[in-house]
Amino acid sequence: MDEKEVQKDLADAILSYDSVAAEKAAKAAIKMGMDPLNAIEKGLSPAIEDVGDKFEKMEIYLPELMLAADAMRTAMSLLLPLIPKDKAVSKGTVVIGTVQGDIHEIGKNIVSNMLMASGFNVEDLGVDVKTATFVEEAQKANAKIIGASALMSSTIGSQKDIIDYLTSMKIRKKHAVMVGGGPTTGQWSKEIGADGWGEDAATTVKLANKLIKRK
Amino acid sequence: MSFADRFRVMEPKDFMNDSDRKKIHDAALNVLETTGIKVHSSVARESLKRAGAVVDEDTNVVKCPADLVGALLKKIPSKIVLAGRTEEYDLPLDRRHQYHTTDGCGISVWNDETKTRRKSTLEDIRKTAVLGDWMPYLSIYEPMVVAHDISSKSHVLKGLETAMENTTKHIETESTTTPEEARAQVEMAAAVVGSKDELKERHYLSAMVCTVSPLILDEGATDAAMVWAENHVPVHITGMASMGLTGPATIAGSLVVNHVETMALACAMQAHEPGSPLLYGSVQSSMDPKTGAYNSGSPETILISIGNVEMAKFLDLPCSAGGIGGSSRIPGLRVSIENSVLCSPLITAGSEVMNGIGLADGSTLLSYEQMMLDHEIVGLAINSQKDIEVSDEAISLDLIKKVGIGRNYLSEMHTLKRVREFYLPTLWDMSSFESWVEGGKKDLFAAAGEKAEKIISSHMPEKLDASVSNKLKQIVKDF
Repeated sequence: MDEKEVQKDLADAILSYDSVAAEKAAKAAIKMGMDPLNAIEKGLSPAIEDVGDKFEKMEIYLPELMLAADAMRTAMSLLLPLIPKDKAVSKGTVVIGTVQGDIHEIGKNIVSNMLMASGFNVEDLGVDVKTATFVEEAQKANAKIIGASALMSSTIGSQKDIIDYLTSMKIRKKHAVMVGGGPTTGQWSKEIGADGWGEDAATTVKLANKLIKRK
Repeated sequence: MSFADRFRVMEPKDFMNDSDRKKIHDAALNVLETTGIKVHSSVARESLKRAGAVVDEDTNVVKCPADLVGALLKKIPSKIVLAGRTEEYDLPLDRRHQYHTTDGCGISVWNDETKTRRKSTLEDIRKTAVLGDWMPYLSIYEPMVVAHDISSKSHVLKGLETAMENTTKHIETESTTTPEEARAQVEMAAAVVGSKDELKERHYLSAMVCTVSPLILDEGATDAAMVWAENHVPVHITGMASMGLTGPATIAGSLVVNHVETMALACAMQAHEPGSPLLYGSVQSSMDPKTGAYNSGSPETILISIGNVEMAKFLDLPCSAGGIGGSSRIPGLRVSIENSVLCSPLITAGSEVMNGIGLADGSTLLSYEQMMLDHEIVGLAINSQKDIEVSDEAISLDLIKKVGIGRNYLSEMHTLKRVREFYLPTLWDMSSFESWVEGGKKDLFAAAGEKAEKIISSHMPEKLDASVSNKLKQIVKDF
């Protein structure tokens, strides 16, 4: 089996939403001594981009997207540790979580998965995350972006708290803050001074791509 | 005719047979006994443990054997009355009435002239309560929005106080997230009906409590549910498992998830306070396959809500499943189309309380115009589900013979009397095209808004006794 065949297997695994096949192909790549960067850049990445395009055109739905992201993560978890730190392939780090007082996690998990799949290093803090924890973890991970999710009208205020906290610590410009979740709106995001609103998972990834390029 | 008679509908029709209902029930019992449900409320866990459930204190997962579930469910009253501020507005839940609530809990308000949204305030609760008090086909008022101009600590109580002041109808509270908030609201309802003991008999206040799907009862709302139970405030258990997202992508599968959650909270309440009233609720839906968003206007939403009604029938419990409230981002035509389709099948199936007049965008956006349109939809739906009376007087054989061939029934006493029972729209009349032109060619949506404004400025709800008002104010102030 040559490198091209393994790259095709990696891509096919993503395109058929198959984590088991992705694991098998990643292991094959490692066994044959393929440069892991090659496996990612020529096998996995074009395939996940293809999945993203199909989703944009509504040829596929959210479950396909999630399963493709799972397959991507499975292969990445085997390949990434083999890449030297100075050759990092991550677009950058996003610290993400559901705000204090709120335990709804599905929307946040979808976004988290899709960010990972599109090449971000994601630190998922889980649910009911304290305002200070968002900021501390973002600093620790040197994250350029903080993602705060809230599903309840009674908890969206915590998104503003994160921004106020950053401002009071005089580090507002260090971390871009994106907000999302059922009761949030673009208007709300502007009102609280967030850097952007993720209406759904796909637009949040686009937003993250934009924010990560900001200086 | 009493207020409740207005909502009397034909006997519910079955959409599922008992064998299929039992399959869902048995699957749910299996989940409750083997997988269990995570209960974040220590009060609920403790009560369930005392009753005989298996509780893992490390994970908060509670497992209930089927016989325990059966024994606890038997304690729930099968028929209750949701009381108004006065008896005139009492609403029996006896499987023969169908009631609608206002929707809650929005966060913004639509301005149709500028096509923009603004933040909701306490004044919106007052205005919608006045409008709701007037609405002949609104049975239950639920504070419709978050009052952004009130501190988050007391906005739920202030909203309830405003509702109590401005409508005599039954009130359902929605956004309670702590037991303290529940206790204060119990004090307020007790002040209106006379005492906490009287409140146990007269259910003037009921409360919506949502589960978190799949298979979680959260801490604050469940702690609050225990307070509601102690005070016999009926709880609308409102699971929201969304097909494909927080429940399986099939109706039967998502019915199982909701049935587990509903039975778990019902059991916790009965273990905590045997005989406490509750309603088998739910506003389940399907997800938008593209975004995962709540898709409350889909045909699957109707079918799964009908399934919820069927499961309430299986347990012989009062039912508040499903509701109107389309998922369109803006009010208007699409919400009205969705709500029109959503409404009737659920009444036919036998949902006794349906949520939600007046909000769009997944229950977040209040529109006074939509409130008027939804009210009209509800009026039409309820009146098209009435019993078909087949008495001698209704058959009117003698009259038919008397009028005979080729004449008409217009000037008959029988007609004069019975024509009064016909439904007349509250929002539009049957006037001609010419009179519509002369009236300024108003579009229905704008006319609805104008009518709402007129009612709000002219309708005078019956006032609360001054001493009760003062008590309410004090409770809110002390909170």
